[in-house]
Amino acid sequence: MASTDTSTTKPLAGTIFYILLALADRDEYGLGIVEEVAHRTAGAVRLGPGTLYNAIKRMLSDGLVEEVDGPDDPSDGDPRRRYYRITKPGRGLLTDEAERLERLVVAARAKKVLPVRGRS
Amino acid sequence: MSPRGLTGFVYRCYPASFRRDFGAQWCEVAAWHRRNLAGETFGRLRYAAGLLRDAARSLPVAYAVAMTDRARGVRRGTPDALPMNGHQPSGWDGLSHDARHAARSLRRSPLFTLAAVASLAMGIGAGTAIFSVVNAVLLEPLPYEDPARLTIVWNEFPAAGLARLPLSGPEVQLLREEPDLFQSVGGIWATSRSVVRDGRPETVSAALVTPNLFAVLGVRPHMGRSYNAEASSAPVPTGVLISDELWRTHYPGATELSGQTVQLEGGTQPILGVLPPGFEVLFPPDGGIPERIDLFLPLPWDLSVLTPAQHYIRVIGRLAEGVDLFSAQQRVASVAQRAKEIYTQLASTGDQFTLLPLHADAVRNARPALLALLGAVGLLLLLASANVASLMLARTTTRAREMALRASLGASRRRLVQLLLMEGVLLTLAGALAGVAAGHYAARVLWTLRPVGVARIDAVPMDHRVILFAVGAAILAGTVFALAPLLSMSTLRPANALGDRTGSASPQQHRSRALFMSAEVAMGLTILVGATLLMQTLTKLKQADLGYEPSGLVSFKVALGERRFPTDAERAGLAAELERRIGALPGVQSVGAGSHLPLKTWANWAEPAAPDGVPESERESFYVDHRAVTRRYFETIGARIAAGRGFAESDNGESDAVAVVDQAYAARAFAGQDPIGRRVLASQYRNGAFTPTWVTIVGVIDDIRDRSPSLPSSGQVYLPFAQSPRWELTYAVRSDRALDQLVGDIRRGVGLAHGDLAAAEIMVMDALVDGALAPTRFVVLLGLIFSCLALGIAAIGLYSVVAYNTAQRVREFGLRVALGADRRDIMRNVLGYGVRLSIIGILAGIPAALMTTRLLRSLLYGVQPHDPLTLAAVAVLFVGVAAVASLGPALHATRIDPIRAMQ
Repeated sequence: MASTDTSTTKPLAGTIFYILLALADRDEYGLGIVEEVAHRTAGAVRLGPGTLYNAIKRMLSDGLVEEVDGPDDPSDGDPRRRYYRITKPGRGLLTDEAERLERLVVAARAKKVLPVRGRS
Repeated sequence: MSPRGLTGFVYRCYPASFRRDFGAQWCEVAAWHRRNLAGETFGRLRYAAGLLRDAARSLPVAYAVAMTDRARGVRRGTPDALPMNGHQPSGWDGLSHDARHAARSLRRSPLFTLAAVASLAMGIGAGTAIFSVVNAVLLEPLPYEDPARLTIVWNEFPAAGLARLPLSGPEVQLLREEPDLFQSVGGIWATSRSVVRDGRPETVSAALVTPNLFAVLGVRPHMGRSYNAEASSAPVPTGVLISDELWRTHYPGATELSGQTVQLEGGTQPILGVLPPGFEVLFPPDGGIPERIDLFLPLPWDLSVLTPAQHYIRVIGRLAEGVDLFSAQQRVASVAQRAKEIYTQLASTGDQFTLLPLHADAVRNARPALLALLGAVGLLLLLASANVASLMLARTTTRAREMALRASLGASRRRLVQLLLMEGVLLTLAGALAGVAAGHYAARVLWTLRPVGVARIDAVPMDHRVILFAVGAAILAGTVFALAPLLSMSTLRPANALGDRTGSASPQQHRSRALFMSAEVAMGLTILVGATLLMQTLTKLKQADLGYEPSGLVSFKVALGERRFPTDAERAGLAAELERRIGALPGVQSVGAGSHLPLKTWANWAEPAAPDGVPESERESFYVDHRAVTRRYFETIGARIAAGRGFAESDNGESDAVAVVDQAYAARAFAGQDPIGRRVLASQYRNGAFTPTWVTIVGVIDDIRDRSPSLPSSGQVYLPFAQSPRWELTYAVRSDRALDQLVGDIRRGVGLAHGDLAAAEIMVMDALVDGALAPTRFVVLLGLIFSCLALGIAAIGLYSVVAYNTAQRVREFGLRVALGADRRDIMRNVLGYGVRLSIIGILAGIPAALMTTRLLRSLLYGVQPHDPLTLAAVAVLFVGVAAVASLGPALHATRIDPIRAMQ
């Protein structure tokens, strides 16, 4: 994927990072992603529906996520829900971005922007 | 249901493709935000602000993406690209593109495709099968030369209420002499003869025929020759013609005809010719001509030498070139008039001739049943089409959004209709192919099940008419259900459909579906009512009082050749000896014999038997079959003596002439007075001729249904065989032993009675009754198959419509549950919908069924076409089917989770 190559150098848009992160350990559907992101950010990031689906659409066409069948348990869902799974390129990109963020955090610590880990 | 208010407004701002792909989920997320903020300060305001901010950020991207996709034409998750208006492929390319596209689309809904193709295949298959039979019986020409010109002439005695009687020799001669009416007129009378084979006698089915009969039919012997067409100096030609089967069994290995003879009792006859294999004289089942005749003997050249009052010759006439049926009918009527003038004894009968096409008459018994079945086929076909229509309608509704999307992406309505029609064409083709294949196979199975007398043709041809029928049926079916998508397309509003995330149906579509469904129920009801009435007919016929007890009876036939046993006393003595021998067999309870048994139609010989006191000029109107029976006949067959006595040992050739009549004759001849002791001028067979003799009635028996289980007796006079010893006897043996155990004993017993006698046609009497019921049973069987198909198709249809309706109302049901509705109410609601549809159909179907069953009247017995119980029972059955078909969707509806349903 051409986009993944360039993405390693470019900062990843926040929305895409959040979505990939939400999908890192399980398949999710749209609202599930929103809830997960809201929960992780303690309600600070609430993905709007248009933003969310534009991003998903983009990620689908870039091959970062794929659509999968929902869970088999029929009680757990409206059949219209679409579930998404992170793809290999998506995971690679997520890792790259996490590492980039980590390098930034390390740098921030070195510049005492952040307290050094362990003392807090 | 689309979101309302601001959410709805924002939602509808997104491009259609976005809403199609993500609409439902977008709404879900928006609803979550709204719920989350609902409890907070300025929650609503903050929700609105967030929604607008989100829209401002995402809308441009969404539109950009939609436009790029549209330019590219292909996009993941979108329908297959459909050529846009203006640059769509045309001609063959366009067609094949559409076909491929439609096939893909059908493949994506395998259940729908399967249900539709199966419905069509059932309808077209049943149609092809029945039509193949109808074609073979009613449309395929008879296997004679120029068969359209062949006619049958029957006698009618309106004064006696008798119809379809044979003609007398002089009457046939008059028909022959009528100028320019017939090219030739032939006659036939069936009987039996004893043929000696390897020194042993054998009774074979024989017929006396006019020497020109084969020329009339245009049939040439495949070996040897027929009789010369012109009269020769001898009054009766010599020689016989035999069937191919008799030739092969009696003359195995013979290759030359010359010098071959048939040894009949009392003389040896040269074999003139062997008829082609499979040759039959095709006659209506009530015509008195058996299917298989092995031996053809000549009648005199000049038929006017025969007795005018003896009506036994069945007439086949070949109309002269250019004579049409109508004028021929007029002219035979005038011949009958002349016959009455010449032979004054015929005057009182009101003697009339009826001329009918041979083919139409030969199949007259099968025709009403076959036409009824063809009608059922038509209904089933319409039912199947309506089912596919209703399936398609449901499908096009769920696809409304797809269609709307296509429309919004630039496909013209015409284009979309073309696409839907192409799907219809593919479904029809698949259904027709499967149907014709299944139908052809089914026709062959039906043909093996057909009863004797439905038709006498060897095979069901798959000819151009059958193919044309199948194509016609397919086109009809296709046209009917092509209406469905057209109907739904006409109501398609892209904006509505896109704005509606469930793709629910418009009221009009609801109505069309309900209409199709009711029509299905109505047609199914008609088929079922017809089949039920026929079933009751069969039951009633089986229960009908025949006037005797056929079960436990074994019958066989013995020819008492007059040349071998020329005197009356000899034949009467032989009959008594046979009765004694057979009666002494182990396990035999009783033995009796008659000139012919009930339901054995072709030994009949009609002669007048007028009661005393009727003026001589009116005697001819009392026509009865000549029936001579032995002493224990009535007792053996289980006939009931209503008054007086049966025949006794003392009723012999020397004693007073006596007779037993049945109730029908007594009622007609003596109108309520006691018939015992009254006299009848009946024809006794004495010294080789039928001789009118005054006989005294000594007993009355209950009527015996001797023509058919459904027809009452037309009046019978029974004479003691000892006083009217005919040339053949059919024995009835009541025994507790099975047929196969008795056969050997019977053959031996007959041989012991006299070395020149042989038993033939040994069978159980039940087989005759069974044979008489076979056509009805065949029609009932087909009716049952049709009913099952109709019920099945209607059930599929009801299920799909109710299930679809339930799916559309998921949110309504969710809401109801959320508001505290009992789940049983939901269930009742869904069941009620299905039942309501069926009741509408039943109400529409009852008048249709009543009209249709009127046409069945001629097939019914013991049950009225408007039998209210039958109607009610079938209606209840349909409601039951509707309830069962709705049960699945109803249970599903009760399990709806209100939270999810309303999101």
